Amino acid sequence: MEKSKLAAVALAIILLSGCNTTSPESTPTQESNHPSRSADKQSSSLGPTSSTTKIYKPATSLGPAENVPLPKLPSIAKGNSEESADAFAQYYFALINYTVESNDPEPIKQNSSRKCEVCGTAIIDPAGRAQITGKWQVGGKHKYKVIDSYKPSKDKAIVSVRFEVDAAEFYIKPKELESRNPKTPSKVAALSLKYDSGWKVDAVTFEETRQ
Amino acid sequence: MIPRVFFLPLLLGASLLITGSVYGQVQILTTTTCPKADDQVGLGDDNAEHRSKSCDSDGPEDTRLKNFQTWMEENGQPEHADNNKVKKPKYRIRDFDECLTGNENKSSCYVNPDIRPCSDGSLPITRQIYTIQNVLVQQFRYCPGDPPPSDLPQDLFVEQIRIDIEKFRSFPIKGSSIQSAPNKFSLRNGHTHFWASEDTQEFRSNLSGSDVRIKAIPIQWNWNYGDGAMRNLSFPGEAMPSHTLHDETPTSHSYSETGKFGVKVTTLYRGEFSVDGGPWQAIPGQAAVPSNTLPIDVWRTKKELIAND
Repeated sequence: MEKSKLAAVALAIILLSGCNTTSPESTPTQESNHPSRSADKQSSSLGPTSSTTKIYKPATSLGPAENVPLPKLPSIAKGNSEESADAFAQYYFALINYTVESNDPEPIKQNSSRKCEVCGTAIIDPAGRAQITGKWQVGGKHKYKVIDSYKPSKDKAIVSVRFEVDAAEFYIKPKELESRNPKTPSKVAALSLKYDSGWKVDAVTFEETRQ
Repeated sequence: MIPRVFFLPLLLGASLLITGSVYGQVQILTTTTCPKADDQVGLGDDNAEHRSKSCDSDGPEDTRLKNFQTWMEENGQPEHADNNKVKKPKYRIRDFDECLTGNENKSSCYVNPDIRPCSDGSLPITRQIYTIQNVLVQQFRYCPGDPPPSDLPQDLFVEQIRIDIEKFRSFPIKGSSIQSAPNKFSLRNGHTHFWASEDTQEFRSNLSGSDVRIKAIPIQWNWNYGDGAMRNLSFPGEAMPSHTLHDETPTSHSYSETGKFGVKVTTLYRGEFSVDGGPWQAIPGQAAVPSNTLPIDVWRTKKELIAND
Protein backbone atom coordinates (compact mmCIF):
# COMPACT_ATOMS: atom_id res chain seq x y z
CA MET A 1 0.00 0.00 0.00
CA GLU A 2 2.78 2.40 0.97
CA LYS A 3 4.59 1.69 -2.25
CA SER A 4 1.55 2.27 -4.38
CA LYS A 5 0.87 5.51 -2.54
CA LEU A 6 4.42 6.62 -3.15
CA ALA A 7 4.05 5.75 -6.78
CA ALA A 8 0.86 7.75 -6.98
CA VAL A 9 2.54 10.74 -5.37
CA ALA A 10 5.49 10.41 -7.73
CA LEU A 11 3.12 10.24 -10.66
CA ALA A 12 1.32 13.31 -9.41
CA ILE A 13 4.62 15.19 -9.13
CA ILE A 14 5.59 14.17 -12.65
CA LEU A 15 2.24 15.34 -13.92
CA LEU A 16 2.46 18.54 -11.92
CA SER A 17 5.78 19.43 -13.44
CA GLY A 18 4.63 18.63 -16.95
CA CYS A 19 4.93 21.14 -19.73
CA ASN A 20 1.60 20.75 -21.45
CA THR A 21 -1.69 22.20 -20.42
CA THR A 22 -3.19 19.03 -19.09
CA SER A 23 -3.85 19.33 -15.44
CA PRO A 24 -2.60 16.92 -12.84
CA GLU A 25 -5.67 14.87 -12.51
CA SER A 26 -5.64 12.38 -9.74
CA THR A 27 -6.55 8.93 -10.80
CA PRO A 28 -9.14 6.71 -9.19
CA THR A 29 -6.41 4.50 -7.79
CA GLN A 30 -4.93 7.40 -5.91
CA GLU A 31 -7.74 7.89 -3.45
CA SER A 32 -10.72 5.92 -4.43
CA ASN A 33 -12.79 5.90 -1.29
CA HIS A 34 -13.90 9.47 -1.42
CA PRO A 35 -17.66 9.76 -1.57
CA SER A 36 -19.40 12.11 -3.92
CA ARG A 37 -21.78 14.81 -2.84
CA SER A 38 -24.81 12.63 -3.38
CA ALA A 39 -23.33 9.63 -1.63
CA ASP A 40 -22.45 11.08 1.73
CA LYS A 41 -21.96 14.65 2.75
CA GLN A 42 -20.52 13.96 6.16
CA SER A 43 -17.41 12.09 5.21
CA SER A 44 -16.03 14.84 3.06
CA SER A 45 -12.86 15.24 5.05
CA LEU A 46 -9.54 13.79 4.03
CA GLY A 47 -9.65 10.58 6.02
CA PRO A 48 -10.51 7.38 4.25
CA THR A 49 -13.56 5.82 5.77
CA SER A 50 -13.85 2.57 3.99
CA SER A 51 -11.48 -0.12 2.86
CA THR A 52 -13.55 -1.20 -0.11
CA THR A 53 -12.47 0.26 -3.41
CA LYS A 54 -15.18 2.41 -4.91
CA ILE A 55 -15.01 3.16 -8.57
CA TYR A 56 -14.80 6.72 -9.83
CA LYS A 57 -17.59 7.68 -12.18
CA PRO A 58 -17.51 11.05 -13.93
CA ALA A 59 -20.62 13.22 -14.03
CA THR A 60 -23.04 12.75 -16.92
CA SER A 61 -26.41 14.20 -17.78
CA LEU A 62 -27.84 11.31 -15.78
CA GLY A 63 -26.18 12.12 -12.48
CA PRO A 64 -23.29 13.71 -10.61
CA ALA A 65 -19.81 12.24 -10.43
CA GLU A 66 -19.25 9.49 -7.90
CA ASN A 67 -16.21 8.70 -5.78
CA VAL A 68 -14.25 11.64 -7.13
CA PRO A 69 -10.60 11.04 -6.25
CA LEU A 70 -9.25 13.65 -3.87
CA PRO A 71 -5.97 15.18 -5.10
CA LYS A 72 -3.11 14.71 -2.65
CA LEU A 73 -0.83 17.50 -1.53
CA PRO A 74 2.54 16.70 -3.09
CA SER A 75 5.31 16.66 -0.49
CA ILE A 76 7.22 19.37 -2.37
CA ALA A 77 4.24 21.72 -1.78
CA LYS A 78 4.65 21.44 2.00
CA GLY A 79 7.78 23.57 2.25
CA ASN A 80 7.89 27.35 2.05
CA SER A 81 10.21 27.74 -0.92
CA GLU A 82 9.21 29.31 -4.23
CA GLU A 83 9.06 25.82 -5.76
CA SER A 84 6.72 24.74 -2.98
CA ALA A 85 4.44 27.69 -3.62
CA ASP A 86 4.45 26.79 -7.31
CA ALA A 87 3.48 23.18 -6.52
CA PHE A 88 0.86 24.32 -4.03
CA ALA A 89 -0.81 26.59 -6.61
CA GLN A 90 -1.11 23.61 -8.94
CA TYR A 91 -2.51 21.51 -6.12
CA TYR A 92 -5.06 24.25 -5.45
CA PHE A 93 -6.24 24.14 -9.06
CA ALA A 94 -6.47 20.35 -8.82
CA LEU A 95 -8.70 20.95 -5.77
CA ILE A 96 -10.84 23.37 -7.79
CA ASN A 97 -11.39 20.60 -10.31
CA TYR A 98 -12.17 18.20 -7.49
CA THR A 99 -14.74 20.67 -6.12
CA VAL A 100 -16.26 21.21 -9.57
CA GLU A 101 -16.86 17.48 -9.82
CA SER A 102 -17.79 16.62 -6.26
CA ASN A 103 -19.37 19.84 -4.88
CA ASP A 104 -17.41 19.01 -1.74
CA PRO A 105 -15.93 22.30 -0.48
CA GLU A 106 -14.19 20.95 2.62
CA PRO A 107 -10.73 20.19 1.19
CA ILE A 108 -10.49 23.56 -0.55
CA LYS A 109 -11.69 25.31 2.61
CA GLN A 110 -8.74 23.83 4.43
CA ASN A 111 -6.44 25.43 1.87
CA SER A 112 -8.07 28.86 1.66
CA SER A 113 -7.90 31.75 4.08
CA ARG A 114 -11.02 33.54 5.29
CA LYS A 115 -9.75 36.66 3.57
CA CYS A 116 -10.02 35.06 0.16
CA GLU A 117 -13.17 36.48 -1.32
CA VAL A 118 -12.91 34.83 -4.74
CA CYS A 119 -12.27 31.44 -3.09
CA GLY A 120 -15.62 31.88 -1.37
CA THR A 121 -17.71 33.40 -4.12
CA ALA A 122 -16.42 31.29 -7.01
CA ILE A 123 -15.68 27.92 -5.42
CA ILE A 124 -16.59 27.30 -1.79
CA ASP A 125 -20.00 28.97 -1.56
CA PRO A 126 -21.29 27.68 -4.91
CA ALA A 127 -20.27 24.16 -3.91
CA GLY A 128 -22.05 24.49 -0.58
CA ARG A 129 -25.18 25.79 -2.28
CA ALA A 130 -25.04 23.11 -4.97
CA GLN A 131 -25.02 20.46 -2.24
CA ILE A 132 -28.33 21.89 -1.07
CA THR A 133 -29.91 22.53 -4.47
CA GLY A 134 -28.69 19.25 -5.88
CA LYS A 135 -27.10 20.86 -8.90
CA TRP A 136 -24.24 19.13 -10.67
CA GLN A 137 -22.11 20.01 -13.65
CA VAL A 138 -20.78 18.04 -16.56
CA GLY A 139 -17.51 19.52 -17.81
CA GLY A 140 -16.19 22.73 -16.29
CA LYS A 141 -12.71 21.33 -15.88
CA HIS A 142 -9.92 23.85 -15.32
CA LYS A 143 -6.75 23.37 -17.37
CA TYR A 144 -3.88 25.30 -15.92
CA LYS A 145 -0.18 25.99 -15.83
CA VAL A 146 2.00 28.15 -13.66
CA ILE A 147 3.57 31.02 -15.60
CA ASP A 148 5.33 32.84 -12.79
CA SER A 149 6.02 32.49 -9.11
CA TYR A 150 7.45 35.16 -6.86
CA LYS A 151 8.30 35.10 -3.18
CA PRO A 152 8.72 38.66 -1.88
CA SER A 153 9.04 37.60 1.76
CA LYS A 154 9.45 34.52 3.90
CA ASP A 155 5.76 33.79 4.32
CA LYS A 156 4.31 35.22 1.11
CA ALA A 157 4.26 34.04 -2.47
CA ILE A 158 2.36 35.14 -5.55
CA VAL A 159 1.89 32.48 -8.20
CA SER A 160 0.41 33.41 -11.57
CA VAL A 161 -1.50 30.62 -13.27
CA ARG A 162 -2.81 30.70 -16.82
CA PHE A 163 -5.99 28.65 -17.01
CA GLU A 164 -9.00 27.95 -19.14
CA VAL A 165 -12.28 26.35 -18.20
CA ASP A 166 -14.02 23.73 -20.31
CA ALA A 167 -17.64 24.28 -21.27
CA ALA A 168 -20.03 23.10 -18.58
CA GLU A 169 -23.60 21.88 -18.52
CA PHE A 170 -25.61 22.11 -15.33
CA TYR A 171 -28.30 19.71 -14.21
CA ILE A 172 -30.66 19.38 -11.27
CA LYS A 173 -32.68 16.53 -12.70
CA PRO A 174 -31.27 13.81 -14.96
CA LYS A 175 -31.30 14.67 -18.65
CA GLU A 176 -32.84 18.11 -18.04
CA LEU A 177 -30.28 20.72 -19.00
CA GLU A 178 -30.68 23.57 -16.53
CA SER A 179 -28.04 25.94 -17.93
CA ARG A 180 -24.67 25.90 -19.53
CA ASN A 181 -21.47 27.93 -19.59
CA PRO A 182 -19.30 28.15 -22.71
CA LYS A 183 -15.60 27.34 -22.66
CA THR A 184 -13.70 30.37 -21.38
CA PRO A 185 -10.67 31.72 -23.23
CA SER A 186 -7.46 31.46 -21.26
CA LYS A 187 -6.97 33.93 -18.42
CA VAL A 188 -4.42 34.50 -15.70
CA ALA A 189 -5.20 34.25 -12.01
CA ALA A 190 -2.57 35.38 -9.53
CA LEU A 191 -2.85 33.40 -6.30
CA SER A 192 -1.53 35.28 -3.28
CA LEU A 193 -0.32 32.60 -0.88
CA LYS A 194 0.52 32.88 2.78
CA TYR A 195 2.63 30.39 4.69
CA ASP A 196 1.86 29.40 8.25
CA SER A 197 2.92 25.78 8.76
CA GLY A 198 1.58 25.29 5.21
CA TRP A 199 0.46 27.42 2.27
CA LYS A 200 -3.03 28.85 2.03
CA VAL A 201 -4.62 30.97 -0.67
CA ASP A 202 -5.08 34.47 0.73
CA ALA A 203 -6.44 36.18 -2.40
CA VAL A 204 -7.09 35.56 -6.08
CA THR A 205 -6.42 38.45 -8.47
CA PHE A 206 -7.43 38.17 -12.11
CA GLU A 207 -5.08 39.70 -14.64
CA GLU A 208 -6.59 42.60 -16.55
CA THR A 209 -6.10 42.79 -20.29
CA ARG A 210 -5.63 46.38 -21.31
CA GLN A 211 -4.86 45.72 -24.94
CA MET B 1 -26.36 21.94 -32.59
CA ILE B 2 -27.76 23.58 -29.50
CA PRO B 3 -30.41 26.15 -30.32
CA ARG B 4 -29.44 29.75 -29.58
CA VAL B 5 -32.79 30.59 -28.00
CA PHE B 6 -35.03 28.22 -26.20
CA PHE B 7 -37.43 28.02 -23.29
CA LEU B 8 -36.94 25.79 -20.32
CA PRO B 9 -39.92 24.88 -18.18
CA LEU B 10 -39.16 25.04 -14.48
CA LEU B 11 -40.45 22.91 -11.65
CA LEU B 12 -42.77 25.49 -10.18
CA GLY B 13 -44.17 26.79 -13.41
CA ALA B 14 -41.76 29.66 -13.81
CA SER B 15 -39.81 29.87 -17.00
CA LEU B 16 -36.27 30.84 -17.88
CA LEU B 17 -35.31 32.45 -21.12
CA ILE B 18 -31.83 31.48 -22.16
CA THR B 19 -30.20 33.48 -24.90
CA GLY B 20 -26.82 32.94 -26.40
CA SER B 21 -24.87 36.12 -27.08
CA VAL B 22 -22.36 36.59 -29.88
CA TYR B 23 -19.72 34.90 -27.79
CA GLY B 24 -21.95 32.08 -26.71
CA GLN B 25 -22.25 33.38 -23.15
CA VAL B 26 -25.34 32.06 -21.47
CA GLN B 27 -27.51 34.70 -19.93
CA ILE B 28 -30.44 33.62 -17.91
CA LEU B 29 -33.36 35.97 -17.67
CA THR B 30 -35.89 34.85 -15.19
CA THR B 31 -39.53 35.63 -15.05
CA THR B 32 -39.82 34.90 -11.36
CA THR B 33 -38.17 36.40 -8.36
CA CYS B 34 -35.30 34.16 -7.55
CA PRO B 35 -33.15 34.11 -4.47
CA LYS B 36 -29.61 35.07 -5.36
CA ALA B 37 -28.50 31.48 -5.43
CA ASP B 38 -25.10 30.88 -6.92
CA ASP B 39 -24.31 27.23 -7.11
CA GLN B 40 -22.04 26.87 -10.11
CA VAL B 41 -18.49 26.09 -9.08
CA GLY B 42 -15.56 27.42 -11.09
CA LEU B 43 -13.44 30.37 -12.14
CA GLY B 44 -15.14 30.53 -15.52
CA ASP B 45 -16.70 33.93 -16.49
CA ASP B 46 -14.96 37.27 -16.85
CA ASN B 47 -15.97 38.07 -13.35
CA ALA B 48 -16.00 34.98 -11.23
CA GLU B 49 -17.88 36.79 -8.53
CA HIS B 50 -21.07 37.12 -10.50
CA ARG B 51 -22.23 33.99 -12.14
CA SER B 52 -25.59 33.32 -13.70
CA LYS B 53 -28.54 33.39 -11.40
CA SER B 54 -31.23 30.80 -11.61
CA CYS B 55 -34.26 29.63 -9.77
CA ASP B 56 -33.06 26.12 -9.19
CA SER B 57 -33.26 26.67 -5.47
CA ASP B 58 -37.03 27.11 -5.62
CA GLY B 59 -38.92 24.42 -3.83
CA PRO B 60 -38.27 22.62 -0.59
CA GLU B 61 -34.52 23.46 -0.57
CA ASP B 62 -35.23 27.16 -0.62
CA THR B 63 -35.44 27.64 3.12
CA ARG B 64 -32.16 25.88 3.66
CA LEU B 65 -30.41 28.23 1.27
CA LYS B 66 -31.75 31.19 3.18
CA ASN B 67 -29.65 30.16 6.15
CA PHE B 68 -26.63 29.42 4.03
CA GLN B 69 -23.52 31.00 5.45
CA THR B 70 -20.90 32.11 3.01
CA TRP B 71 -17.18 31.53 3.35
CA MET B 72 -16.57 35.11 4.46
CA GLU B 73 -19.45 35.10 6.94
CA GLU B 74 -18.82 31.76 8.60
CA ASN B 75 -17.29 31.82 12.06
CA GLY B 76 -17.94 35.45 12.81
CA GLN B 77 -16.75 38.65 11.18
CA PRO B 78 -15.94 38.69 7.53
CA GLU B 79 -12.34 39.64 6.91
CA HIS B 80 -11.13 41.87 4.16
CA ALA B 81 -7.97 41.97 2.17
CA ASP B 82 -4.89 43.60 3.70
CA ASN B 83 -4.81 46.46 1.26
CA ASN B 84 -8.08 47.83 2.61
CA LYS B 85 -6.45 48.28 5.99
CA VAL B 86 -3.47 50.25 4.76
CA LYS B 87 -4.30 53.93 5.11
CA LYS B 88 -1.53 55.52 3.08
CA PRO B 89 -0.40 52.82 0.74
CA LYS B 90 2.88 52.97 -1.11
CA TYR B 91 3.31 50.86 -4.19
CA ARG B 92 6.05 49.21 -6.13
CA ILE B 93 6.17 47.57 -9.52
CA ARG B 94 7.27 44.08 -10.45
CA ASP B 95 7.38 42.93 -14.06
CA PHE B 96 7.78 39.49 -15.55
CA ASP B 97 7.79 37.92 -18.99
CA GLU B 98 5.27 35.16 -19.44
CA CYS B 99 6.82 33.67 -22.55
CA LEU B 100 10.44 34.42 -23.15
CA THR B 101 13.95 33.11 -22.83
CA GLY B 102 14.88 32.48 -19.25
CA ASN B 103 11.41 31.42 -18.27
CA GLU B 104 11.68 27.83 -19.47
CA ASN B 105 11.70 26.45 -15.95
CA LYS B 106 8.16 27.73 -15.50
CA SER B 107 6.62 25.16 -17.81
CA SER B 108 7.34 25.70 -21.46
CA CYS B 109 5.82 28.71 -23.15
CA TYR B 110 3.38 27.88 -25.85
CA VAL B 111 2.11 30.09 -28.60
CA ASN B 112 -0.95 31.62 -27.06
CA PRO B 113 -3.46 33.19 -29.43
CA ASP B 114 -4.84 35.19 -26.48
CA ILE B 115 -1.56 37.11 -26.17
CA ARG B 116 -1.23 39.71 -28.88
CA PRO B 117 2.19 41.24 -29.47
CA CYS B 118 2.81 44.93 -28.86
CA SER B 119 2.66 47.25 -31.87
CA ASP B 120 6.46 47.09 -32.33
CA GLY B 121 6.54 43.28 -32.42
CA SER B 122 7.79 42.73 -28.86
CA LEU B 123 5.76 40.62 -26.45
CA PRO B 124 3.81 42.34 -23.68
CA ILE B 125 5.14 42.31 -20.15
CA THR B 126 3.06 41.20 -17.22
CA ARG B 127 3.14 44.02 -14.68
CA GLN B 128 2.26 43.49 -11.04
CA ILE B 129 1.65 46.30 -8.58
CA TYR B 130 2.35 45.52 -4.94
CA THR B 131 1.95 47.52 -1.78
CA ILE B 132 5.22 47.78 0.10
CA GLN B 133 3.71 45.19 2.45
CA ASN B 134 3.89 42.83 -0.55
CA VAL B 135 0.15 42.65 -1.16
CA LEU B 136 -0.65 42.27 -4.84
CA VAL B 137 -3.19 44.91 -5.83
CA GLN B 138 -3.20 44.78 -9.63
CA GLN B 139 -1.88 42.67 -12.45
CA PHE B 140 -2.08 43.58 -16.13
CA ARG B 141 -0.37 43.18 -19.48
CA TYR B 142 1.79 46.08 -20.47
CA CYS B 143 3.46 47.31 -23.66
CA PRO B 144 6.27 49.90 -23.61
CA GLY B 145 4.70 53.34 -23.94
CA ASP B 146 1.38 52.34 -22.37
CA PRO B 147 0.11 54.94 -19.91
CA PRO B 148 0.52 54.08 -16.21
CA PRO B 149 -2.63 52.93 -14.38
CA SER B 150 -4.81 56.01 -13.97
CA ASP B 151 -6.16 54.88 -10.60
CA LEU B 152 -2.72 54.82 -8.98
CA PRO B 153 -0.92 58.19 -8.93
CA GLN B 154 2.79 58.02 -9.70
CA ASP B 155 3.80 59.76 -6.47
CA LEU B 156 2.51 56.78 -4.49
CA PHE B 157 5.22 54.60 -5.94
CA VAL B 158 8.42 54.02 -3.97
CA GLU B 159 11.70 54.64 -5.72
CA GLN B 160 13.39 51.44 -6.76
CA ILE B 161 16.82 51.00 -8.25
CA ARG B 162 15.50 49.14 -11.19
CA ILE B 163 15.94 49.29 -14.92
CA ASP B 164 12.54 48.99 -16.49
CA ILE B 165 11.83 48.53 -20.16
CA GLU B 166 11.45 52.26 -20.80
CA LYS B 167 14.83 53.01 -19.25
CA PHE B 168 16.39 50.06 -21.07
CA ARG B 169 15.16 51.38 -24.39
CA SER B 170 16.62 54.80 -23.68
CA PHE B 171 20.18 53.45 -23.99
CA PRO B 172 21.77 53.79 -27.45
CA ILE B 173 21.39 50.13 -28.40
CA LYS B 174 22.74 49.56 -31.88
CA GLY B 175 20.74 47.55 -34.36
CA SER B 176 22.28 44.63 -36.22
CA SER B 177 24.19 45.32 -39.41
CA ILE B 178 23.21 43.13 -42.31
CA GLN B 179 25.07 41.72 -45.27
CA SER B 180 24.17 39.64 -48.28
CA ALA B 181 25.85 37.19 -50.64
CA PRO B 182 26.14 38.16 -53.41
CA ASN B 183 26.80 41.61 -52.02
CA LYS B 184 23.77 43.88 -52.62
CA PHE B 185 22.98 41.96 -55.76
CA SER B 186 20.89 38.96 -56.68
CA LEU B 187 19.20 37.09 -59.46
CA ARG B 188 15.51 36.39 -59.68
CA ASN B 189 14.57 33.04 -58.08
CA GLY B 190 18.09 32.62 -56.72
CA HIS B 191 18.70 32.08 -53.02
CA THR B 192 20.22 35.29 -51.73
CA HIS B 193 21.99 34.60 -48.46
CA PHE B 194 21.52 37.19 -45.72
CA TRP B 195 23.04 37.39 -42.27
CA ALA B 196 23.00 39.87 -39.44
CA SER B 197 25.42 40.74 -36.67
CA GLU B 198 24.85 39.44 -33.14
CA ASP B 199 26.39 41.81 -30.62
CA THR B 200 25.73 41.90 -26.91
CA GLN B 201 26.17 45.51 -25.81
CA GLU B 202 26.95 46.88 -22.39
CA PHE B 203 26.12 50.26 -20.84
CA ARG B 204 26.74 51.99 -17.54
CA SER B 205 24.51 54.35 -15.65
CA ASN B 206 24.41 56.10 -12.31
CA LEU B 207 21.08 55.84 -10.55
CA SER B 208 20.58 57.35 -7.08
CA GLY B 209 24.31 57.08 -6.46
CA SER B 210 24.51 53.43 -7.50
CA ASP B 211 26.66 52.15 -10.31
CA VAL B 212 24.38 50.23 -12.64
CA ARG B 213 25.57 48.08 -15.53
CA ILE B 214 23.17 47.16 -18.29
CA LYS B 215 23.50 44.46 -20.94
CA ALA B 216 21.49 44.27 -24.16
CA ILE B 217 21.42 40.74 -25.56
CA PRO B 218 19.98 40.10 -29.05
CA ILE B 219 17.40 37.30 -29.11
CA GLN B 220 15.36 37.69 -32.28
CA TRP B 221 15.80 39.02 -35.81
CA ASN B 222 12.65 40.14 -37.63
CA TRP B 223 13.51 40.33 -41.34
CA ASN B 224 11.75 42.48 -43.88
CA TYR B 225 13.00 41.66 -47.39
CA GLY B 226 11.43 44.69 -49.06
CA ASP B 227 9.31 42.63 -51.46
CA GLY B 228 6.51 42.10 -48.95
CA ALA B 229 8.09 39.01 -47.43
CA MET B 230 8.87 39.03 -43.69
CA ARG B 231 9.94 36.46 -41.18
CA ASN B 232 11.09 36.26 -37.58
CA LEU B 233 14.12 34.16 -36.70
CA SER B 234 15.77 33.35 -33.39
CA PHE B 235 19.26 33.25 -34.98
CA PRO B 236 21.15 35.83 -37.04
CA GLY B 237 22.69 33.58 -39.69
CA GLU B 238 26.38 33.68 -40.56
CA ALA B 239 28.74 34.33 -43.44
CA MET B 240 29.03 31.42 -45.86
CA PRO B 241 32.00 32.03 -48.17
CA SER B 242 31.20 29.19 -50.60
CA HIS B 243 27.53 30.06 -50.95
CA THR B 244 26.01 30.19 -54.45
CA LEU B 245 22.56 31.28 -55.54
CA HIS B 246 21.62 27.61 -55.85
CA ASP B 247 22.01 27.07 -52.12
CA GLU B 248 19.07 27.71 -49.88
CA THR B 249 20.24 28.58 -46.34
CA PRO B 250 18.36 29.05 -43.05
CA THR B 251 18.54 32.81 -43.60
CA SER B 252 18.34 33.09 -47.39
CA HIS B 253 15.53 34.66 -49.36
CA SER B 254 14.42 34.22 -52.94
CA TYR B 255 13.03 37.15 -54.92
CA SER B 256 10.43 36.22 -57.51
CA GLU B 257 10.56 39.64 -59.19
CA THR B 258 13.34 41.83 -60.45
CA GLY B 259 13.87 45.30 -59.08
CA LYS B 260 15.51 47.27 -56.31
CA PHE B 261 14.59 46.29 -52.76
CA GLY B 262 15.58 47.51 -49.31
CA VAL B 263 16.27 44.76 -46.76
CA LYS B 264 15.92 45.57 -43.06
CA VAL B 265 16.04 43.62 -39.84
CA THR B 266 14.53 44.63 -36.53
CA THR B 267 16.51 43.08 -33.70
CA LEU B 268 14.82 42.35 -30.39
CA TYR B 269 17.14 42.77 -27.41
CA ARG B 270 16.44 41.51 -23.93
CA GLY B 271 18.12 43.29 -21.07
CA GLU B 272 19.88 42.50 -17.81
CA PHE B 273 21.14 44.85 -15.15
CA SER B 274 23.43 44.70 -12.15
CA VAL B 275 23.47 47.21 -9.30
CA ASP B 276 26.86 47.94 -7.65
CA GLY B 277 28.36 44.69 -8.87
CA GLY B 278 25.38 42.64 -7.66
CA PRO B 279 23.80 39.73 -9.51
CA TRP B 280 22.51 40.23 -13.04
CA GLN B 281 18.73 40.61 -13.08
CA ALA B 282 16.52 40.22 -16.12
CA ILE B 283 14.63 43.23 -17.46
CA PRO B 284 11.25 42.01 -18.67
CA GLY B 285 10.30 43.12 -22.15
CA GLN B 286 12.49 43.77 -25.16
CA ALA B 287 13.92 46.68 -27.09
CA ALA B 288 13.16 46.52 -30.80
CA VAL B 289 16.00 48.17 -32.75
CA PRO B 290 15.94 48.64 -36.54
CA SER B 291 19.03 47.96 -38.65
CA ASN B 292 20.49 49.81 -41.58
CA THR B 293 18.72 49.23 -44.88
CA LEU B 294 20.64 47.04 -47.29
CA PRO B 295 19.81 47.86 -50.92
CA ILE B 296 19.56 44.83 -53.13
CA ASP B 297 19.33 44.84 -56.90
CA VAL B 298 17.61 41.79 -58.35
CA TRP B 299 18.25 41.02 -62.03
CA ARG B 300 16.63 38.68 -64.44
CA THR B 301 18.88 36.26 -66.22
CA LYS B 302 19.01 33.12 -68.27
CA LYS B 303 19.56 29.71 -66.82
CA GLU B 304 23.08 29.37 -68.24
CA LEU B 305 24.14 32.59 -66.61
CA ILE B 306 23.07 31.37 -63.17
CA ALA B 307 24.92 28.11 -63.71
CA ASN B 308 28.05 29.97 -64.69
CA ASP B 309 27.88 32.36 -61.77
